[in-house]
Amino acid sequence: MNYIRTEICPGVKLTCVNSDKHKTDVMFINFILPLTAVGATSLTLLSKVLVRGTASYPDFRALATACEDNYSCGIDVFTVKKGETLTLSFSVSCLKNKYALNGEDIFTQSLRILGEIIFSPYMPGGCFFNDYVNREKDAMREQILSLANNKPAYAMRRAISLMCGNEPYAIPAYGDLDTLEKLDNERLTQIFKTVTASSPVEIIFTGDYEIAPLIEKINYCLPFSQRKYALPGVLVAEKAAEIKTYTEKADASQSTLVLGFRTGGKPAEEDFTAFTVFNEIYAQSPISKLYMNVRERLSLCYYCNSLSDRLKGIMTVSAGIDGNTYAKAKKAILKELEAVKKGNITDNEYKSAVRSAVSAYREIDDLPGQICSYYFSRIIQGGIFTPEEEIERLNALTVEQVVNTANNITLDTVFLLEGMLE
Amino acid sequence: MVTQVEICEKQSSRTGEKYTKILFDNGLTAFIIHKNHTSAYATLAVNFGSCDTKYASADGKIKSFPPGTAHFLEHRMFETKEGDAMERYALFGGDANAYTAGDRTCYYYISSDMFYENLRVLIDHVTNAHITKKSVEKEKAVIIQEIKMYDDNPYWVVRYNMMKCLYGESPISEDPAGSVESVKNISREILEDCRRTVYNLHNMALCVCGNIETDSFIAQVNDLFSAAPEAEYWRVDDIPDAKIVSAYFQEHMDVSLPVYSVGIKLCAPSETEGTKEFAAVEIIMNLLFGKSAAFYSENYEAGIFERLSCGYQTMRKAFFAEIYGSARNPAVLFDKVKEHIKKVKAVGFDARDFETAKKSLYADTICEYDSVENIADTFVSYYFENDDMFDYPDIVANITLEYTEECLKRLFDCDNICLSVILPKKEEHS
Repeated sequence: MNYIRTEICPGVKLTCVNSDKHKTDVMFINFILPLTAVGATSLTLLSKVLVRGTASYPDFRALATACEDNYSCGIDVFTVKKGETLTLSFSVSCLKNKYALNGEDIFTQSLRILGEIIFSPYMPGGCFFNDYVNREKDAMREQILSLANNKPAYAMRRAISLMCGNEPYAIPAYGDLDTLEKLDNERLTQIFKTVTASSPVEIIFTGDYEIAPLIEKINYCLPFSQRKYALPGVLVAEKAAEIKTYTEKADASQSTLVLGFRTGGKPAEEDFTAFTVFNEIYAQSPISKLYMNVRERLSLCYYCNSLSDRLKGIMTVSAGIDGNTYAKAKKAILKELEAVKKGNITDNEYKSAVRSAVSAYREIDDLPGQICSYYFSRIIQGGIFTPEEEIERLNALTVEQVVNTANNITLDTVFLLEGMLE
Repeated sequence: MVTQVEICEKQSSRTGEKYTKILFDNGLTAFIIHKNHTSAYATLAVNFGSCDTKYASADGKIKSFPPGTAHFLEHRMFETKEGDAMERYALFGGDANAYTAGDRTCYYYISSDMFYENLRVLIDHVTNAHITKKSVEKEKAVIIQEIKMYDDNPYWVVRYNMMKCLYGESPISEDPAGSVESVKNISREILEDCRRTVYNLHNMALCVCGNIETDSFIAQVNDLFSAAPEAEYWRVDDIPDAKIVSAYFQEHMDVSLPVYSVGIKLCAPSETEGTKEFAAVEIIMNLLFGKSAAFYSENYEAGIFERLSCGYQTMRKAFFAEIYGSARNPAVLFDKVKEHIKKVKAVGFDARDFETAKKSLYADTICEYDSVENIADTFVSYYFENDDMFDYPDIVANITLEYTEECLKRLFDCDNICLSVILPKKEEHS
């Protein structure tokens, strides 16, 4: 899967993956910032206020109708946390022009609407409309409070926050209530202007357009100005200092166990590959050690899987369990990690893990959204490799490298969200 | 060894998509949906889901299966005499799984290599599973954790409570996994009996989607199935009453803000124009409650709701529309929903709004064709209801305002609406 990378103007980079195999054109635009509490809260609020109205479509209904009338082009504004980087991201996904019923130019109209959202939001008197800001503050407050409704997701965020303490990574992507209360329309407008004028921008596109006509369309609809380009750094702990253990009670019928691990210092590119295979063997694949043992052999849970942020060097394993089996489940999860560390990996486990990882890379170009996410992840990690290059690396990997990677992993935090015990 | 008896092809001039249908003489129907994707997806689907608990033979004998049987069976169908099918898939790089919906059970994998090696595993474990008493007993603890995970999810609970208001104690409104009690009572014998009764090639479809060549597919699949006997038992569908069972249900859980689900019971889908009615209902719901509707922005601005989404679902003879989300006072929203439906039934839709909603649905329908998983899954769900997914974009493109308004008047009845809410626990005591 080939890509072309260029700079539209200083600080605004474009990655274009030309593909005619899908029904949709997709573009992601990411403004990149370091992760801070003020940033997380204000960018989340911005993501809501920006879709309330633009200069030409001044209210929610006008904007939603414009999108629907343009063959339901999907425009989303959201934030993404990767390592200690936060982005204000815009995505547009639209039906290709060739499927239009009356010959409309769906793509250009989608970029026009997106351009309005980013560069001409509804600002009567030079500021965001106060009613919109206040209503979205109310909505965001409710959303932050309702995050606790989903117990497994709550347990995961709580574990990360306890594990990372004072590190910026402890800041949740959606921000916090204290910062939210202090934001008003003037402050938000100021932050918005700074972000859109000076944060580095990465644009990723996949669809029918070649690079030259694409740049022309972007320049026409999205008037970016020049800015400095530097990606934020990240604090990475080599290993856990000590094992911290926490328990919280919850009004739930199931308990959620989360184990937080440090995966080693700032990794080299080959270590990313080795970690991918380690993770398949340990937790990700349908025959992973956790699935086959903690679920299938010991019947301790329905799900037991891992999430990792490789930029930050963190992995979490979580499982929904009967609270009475807490000690047994924790022991079983750690026992399987020890097995990988000791090199107890069968030939089948290793081959299956590599195949599974190879398949995942091969399948990226089947979905346009996946293509954009893949390239953006690689850019943030600091080195772009195509899926084909990743596959070459996987094929060159050895079991020893996987075992070495496993041996860099240390347990940092054990968190139990304890539901009602029977 | 079986041979195919009939092959036919169909291409949509609108989307350019093409499929081949193959009828094997052992009773199996297979579809190849031709896509130029790197990965290929295969699903072996059984026309049997969690709602299908009752079967009858020609001479009037009845078999009933306890709630959760279809789902339990799905969990154990990966066990074969040669071991766990998951391990065999993994060797060939196949990413496999299964799910149980109200009206079907699907076993599937996605692979970018060794498609036929994986296909052999799929067909083998679904047609030759080896279920042991020990594994059934062990699986109960896993399924009980699955049920508890959903029991803690207010959005899940509020929706099934809504369905109970619409359909009462029917398999339609039962959690597909059953209850902790029903699962404890499921035995190996029940599962085996269910499998023998229902897992018949005449009652299944194999649907593959990807860069798959028809001749080699037929050659490869030909010797994988043995001829199936004719089915002896046939599904008995629960026919829902026309009227709702209850208009309101509440429960308390650990939520910060009330969570609601409004159910609108629609009469059973038309035998001849089912798909056209679904398209009309999708457009109606979008026009009434979608993000570009005046109802949405006015009530959001006034703080009547925090979140609101809408849609519709069909499952056998059940057909309902739903509105769900979170709101400070769902009862106020519920009244506004009913008033709004009444009003629009009287005055009709704006012609321009209708064209916008139709275009929007048309685009969503075509975008479905980007994912091999979506295509194959949606394709079999249409097929089991005797419809064809490939006809849908044309149906949407040709739908008229008059027909849509006629559906609104005929299907939507303001006395047939219910509200289910989950309230915060603190309100329980105040």
